[in-house]
Amino acid sequence: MLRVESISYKLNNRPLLKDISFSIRAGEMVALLGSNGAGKSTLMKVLSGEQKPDSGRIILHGENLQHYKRKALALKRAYLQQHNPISMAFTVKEVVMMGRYGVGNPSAPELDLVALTETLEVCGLTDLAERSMLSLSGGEQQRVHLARVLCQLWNNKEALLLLDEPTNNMDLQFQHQTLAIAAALAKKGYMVIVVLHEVNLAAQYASRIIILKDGRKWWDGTPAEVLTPQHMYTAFGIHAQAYTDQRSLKTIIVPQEIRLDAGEFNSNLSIQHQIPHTNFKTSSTDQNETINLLSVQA
Amino acid sequence: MPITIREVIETLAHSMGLFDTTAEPVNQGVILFIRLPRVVMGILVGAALGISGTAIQGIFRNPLAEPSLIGISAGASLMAVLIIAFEALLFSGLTEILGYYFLAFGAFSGAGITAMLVYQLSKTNGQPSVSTMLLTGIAINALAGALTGLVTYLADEQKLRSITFWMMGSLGGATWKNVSCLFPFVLIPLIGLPLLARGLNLFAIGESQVSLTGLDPNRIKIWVVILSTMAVGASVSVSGIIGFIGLLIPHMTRLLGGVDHRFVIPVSALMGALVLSIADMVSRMIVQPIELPIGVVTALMGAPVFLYILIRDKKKSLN
Repeated sequence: MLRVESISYKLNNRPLLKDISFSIRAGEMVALLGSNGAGKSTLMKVLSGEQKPDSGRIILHGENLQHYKRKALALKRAYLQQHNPISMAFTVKEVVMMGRYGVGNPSAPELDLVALTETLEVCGLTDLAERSMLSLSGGEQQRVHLARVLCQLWNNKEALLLLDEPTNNMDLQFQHQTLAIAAALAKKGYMVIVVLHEVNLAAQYASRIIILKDGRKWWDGTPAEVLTPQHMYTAFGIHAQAYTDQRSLKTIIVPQEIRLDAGEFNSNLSIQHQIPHTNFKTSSTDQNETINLLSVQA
Repeated sequence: MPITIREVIETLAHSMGLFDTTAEPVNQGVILFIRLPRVVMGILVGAALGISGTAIQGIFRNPLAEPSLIGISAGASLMAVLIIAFEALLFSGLTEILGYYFLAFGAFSGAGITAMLVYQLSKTNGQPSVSTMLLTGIAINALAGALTGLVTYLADEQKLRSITFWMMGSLGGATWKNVSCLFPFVLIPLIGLPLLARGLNLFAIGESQVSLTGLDPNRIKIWVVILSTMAVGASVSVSGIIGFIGLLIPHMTRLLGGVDHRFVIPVSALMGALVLSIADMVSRMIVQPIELPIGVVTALMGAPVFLYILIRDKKKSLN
C-alpha cells in the first residue's frame, strides 16, 4: 500500500508539485496523465525516493519512504526512467541481470537466474538474450530496461513499480504489449504507476487515472470518470469527444484535429520567385462519419 | 648488452638454487639486478595502468577517459617532481625505501586530486560531458607539464632525471627497492577494483540507476577513484607517464570477451601486464643500442586506437 500525504516539491523556488495526496492499493494500475511540464516525471522522481519532497510524507507499506535503507527500498520499488542511455555493448541478459545487483542473495545465485529467465520470458526477450544492446532499436532497448526493473522486483509481490513513459520509442504492438505486461503484474498484486502521453492507452489498460495540471492533482478516478471532453480541454487544451467502445465498454477519446493556416510562411519567397502562393488549409470533414461504429457517450 | 636466453634461464635457475650456471658473473648481475626488476616493474605498472584505465573509463562512462589523457598522470607526476625537487627539505632523514613510499603516496595524492577535479568539472547539469572532460584534461596536462618543466629546470640537475622521463615514461629506473615499494600500491587495487565491478556495470546505464538498484553510487565512485589513482600515482612515481595503456587495454579486453566489468576489470590487469612487458622489450630492442622511451611505443600502439574510437563514435552519432 502506498500513501502519498500532501507532498510539495520546489526546484529553484519554482513549485513543481503542490499538495498532492492519493493512495494506491496492491493490484491497482494507475496511469498518470497531464500536459508537458505538469509535474508527472517530478512526481515519479519523488515517489521513487530519488528526490525528497519539501513537505508531506510518502508512506510505502507502513514506513516513510525517507526512512528506508537503500537496499530495502530497492526490494520494494523499482523505477523505469524516461531516458536510459547506454554507451557500452552490454548484452540484453547482462542488462536485465543488473536489476538483481542490489537485491539478489549472494548465497543463492540460482534464484537470480530464475528471475532472469522468467523476466525475459514475460517480456518476450528470450530470443534477444544474447544480443548486444547497441544492436537493438530504441523500442527494444526500452523493453530491456523494463525487464531490468521487473527483474529487480521479481520475488516481491505488492512492490511499487514506477514506469515513466515506458512506451517511448515503441511501435503500436510494443506499446500495447508493454502495458499488457504492466497490467498483468498489477493483477498479480504489484502496485503500478505509469506515466503516459497516449490517453487511450491509459483508458484501455489502467484501472485508475490521475491527471496532473500545473503540479496539482486535478482529477483522480476510473477512466470513465476522468476521461471526459471537459477534462481533456482543461488538462490538455484540446477539444475531444469521448465514446464508449461497444465491445470492451472502455472509454475512447477522439481529439478533434487542430487546423492551422500557414499564413505568411514562405510568402516573400513566392513573390520573388513567382511561385504561386500555396495555402495549407484543408477542407473540413465530418467527424461523425469516421466513427460511426461507436455510440456517442452521454 | 646482449645476453643469450640460455644465460638468462641458467642464471634464474641458479639464483633459485637449482643448478650451476656457465653465465659470466657480470651478466648474472645484469640479469638479476637490472633486467629482472625491470620486467617485474613492467608487469606491475602494466597491470596497474590496465586495471585503472578500465575502472576510470567505467566511472566516467566513456571509452576515451584515460589517466594520461585527462590529466591524472600529469597530476601524479607533478606531485612526484615537486617531492623530488624538495627532497632535502622533505625527507632527508628518511631511508631510501621510506623515501620511495613517500614519493608514491605523493604521486597518489596528486592523481587523486586531479581525478576528483576532472570528474567534477566534466559534469554539465549532472551529466558527464566528453568534450569538457577531454578539454579539462588538456588544460591540466599543459599546466602540470609547465610546472613540471619549471621545477625540473630550477632543480639541481643531479637530482632529477630528464623531463623526458616524466613525460614519456621509462622502466629503466627499476631497482628491487622501488619495485618492492610499488608492489602494495598495485596489489590493493588489484584486489579492490574487481569487487566494484557490479557497481561499474550500473554506472554504464546511469549514475541514478546505481542508487535505484540498491547500491551506493558515491561509495563506488570514491573507491574507484581512490584505488585507480593509487595504482596510477604509484606507477607514475617509478616510471613516469606511460600513455595510452589505459586506453588500449580496456578496449582490447572488451573485444576479447564483452563489456561486463566482472570480466574486463581482472582481465585488463593481465592484458596490461602482458602488453607493457612486450612494449618495453620492443622499446629496448628496436633501435639498439639506443633505447626508445616506452611512451613512444605505447603511443604508437594506442593513438590509432584513440582515433579509431573517435571516428567510430562519430559515425554512430550520425546514424
